[in-house]
Amino acid sequence: MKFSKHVLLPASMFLFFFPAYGYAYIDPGAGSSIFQSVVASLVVGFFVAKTAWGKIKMYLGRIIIRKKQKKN
Amino acid sequence: MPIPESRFPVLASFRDPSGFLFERDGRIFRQVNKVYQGHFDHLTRCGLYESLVSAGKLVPHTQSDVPAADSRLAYKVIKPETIPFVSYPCEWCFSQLRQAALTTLQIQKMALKEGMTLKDASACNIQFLNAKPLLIDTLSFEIYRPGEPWAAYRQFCRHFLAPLALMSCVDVRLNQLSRTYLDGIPLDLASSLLPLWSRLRPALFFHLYSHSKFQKHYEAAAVGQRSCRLSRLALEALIDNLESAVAGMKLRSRRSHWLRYYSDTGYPHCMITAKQALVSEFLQRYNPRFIYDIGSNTGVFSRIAGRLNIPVVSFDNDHAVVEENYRACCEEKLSSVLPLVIDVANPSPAAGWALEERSSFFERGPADAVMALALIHHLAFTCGIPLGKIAYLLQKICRCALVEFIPKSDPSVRRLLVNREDIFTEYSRESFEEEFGRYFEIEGCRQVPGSSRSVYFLKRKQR
Repeated sequence: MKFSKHVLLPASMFLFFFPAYGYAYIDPGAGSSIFQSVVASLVVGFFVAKTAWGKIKMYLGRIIIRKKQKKN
Repeated sequence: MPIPESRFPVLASFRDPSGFLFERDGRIFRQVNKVYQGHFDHLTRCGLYESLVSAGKLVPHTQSDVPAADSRLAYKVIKPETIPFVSYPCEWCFSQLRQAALTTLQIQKMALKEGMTLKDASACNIQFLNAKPLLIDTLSFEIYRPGEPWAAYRQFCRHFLAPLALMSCVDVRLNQLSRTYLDGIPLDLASSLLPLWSRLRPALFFHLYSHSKFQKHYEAAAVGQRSCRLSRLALEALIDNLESAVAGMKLRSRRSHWLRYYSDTGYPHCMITAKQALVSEFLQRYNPRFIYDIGSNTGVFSRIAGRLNIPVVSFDNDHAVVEENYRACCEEKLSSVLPLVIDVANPSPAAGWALEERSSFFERGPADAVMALALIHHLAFTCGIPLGKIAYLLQKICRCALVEFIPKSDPSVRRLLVNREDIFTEYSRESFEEEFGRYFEIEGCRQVPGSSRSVYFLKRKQR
């Protein structure tokens, strides 16, 4: 009780009155802000897989080049 | 005494509290305000500014000692490199708009790597310098706060994705909607204009259709930014997805008879060669510093000046030919030619608050010289503009001109009059020389071999 009264409540009020807004002069739009969270969560898996695949291809490419250089 | 409000800021830069453009002694400066100090210092300290300038993606600037326009707000004053000719998104062809969109996203990716983000993504923040798109608003960056969504996402979709989708899926001329909607095409309008089959494309389905629905649903809602957290990885994924969507947009091939103008109108090759020689002679004689090539078609004659590094704004009202012109300039790496989609009979007007946010096309001039080859007869017969009015306009916008007169006996003119009554009794060589002679000295007249056409070398009379 003392913890919630003396720590939690003031902390939550602090967060409420001092939100971490960016210094954007354009209106990002409530719907757009929420929507990009939705879309980003859908595409992040593909992005991670694409990035990982890119790194694997680069790594394999280096191995192939080294093997060719050794043969020559 | 208070400084009159119209003295500063310049154009639409008044909207951003971080700073604004102002003019002093005919030169443009940018005031950086104190509220932006932290972000500006971070931009230079973290190396992002250097990286972007080296990559040719941000306009370079120098520090300036010029007094600030509003010293109460000012942190410092910088002098950005001058853009020779400001153009607007409604004047760009499809490829130019796509390139501008990709540049914006590439800048955002580079910014995220250095802990910054773009706070706006307006297409007007991009200009073409040396034929390449770059960001001109140095104050567009802010320090990235982890977890925050991208504030400029909606603006990017309106300014870039919506017009590109409309040009790609419906009609390339819909880019003109950007002329009316200065803050980008509304997503619900774009969604209603796009065909049903375009919803099968995931990028358009998500970033336009679904985005529009979400916007409408939450229109009146007071949803704080803290309700929409977005990790940096998710933000990078979003930017990457937008980049793939834009890169994948293609223009459907549009039949335009203007693309085959020189072949379909029976232009013999010797005529083109002769006109090219006349253009070279004109450039050598008058040594123009800046040229408008009006009705440039695919830019064949503009590129003669471009190869001599003379700045040329090469414009035509047909998208297909401007697209071809832009492709040819990129292939030849001509940095001084800027192809634009502009109808000289109805050019871009001034727009925005007090009609001062965007200047009209002719306000951005004047040019030093004009080339008007195979143009006058179209203005006279298709647009119904009298020769006197054409001459009046040209003398307002240039010092010297290369103008081609095509008589009624020419096959091009006969084709224009085949389905209509010839009411153009005033159109003749004598009228042309009389009207243009009011404002210009006719310093030369050459017949184009293989035709009854004449090319005039004109120099504006002393006013």
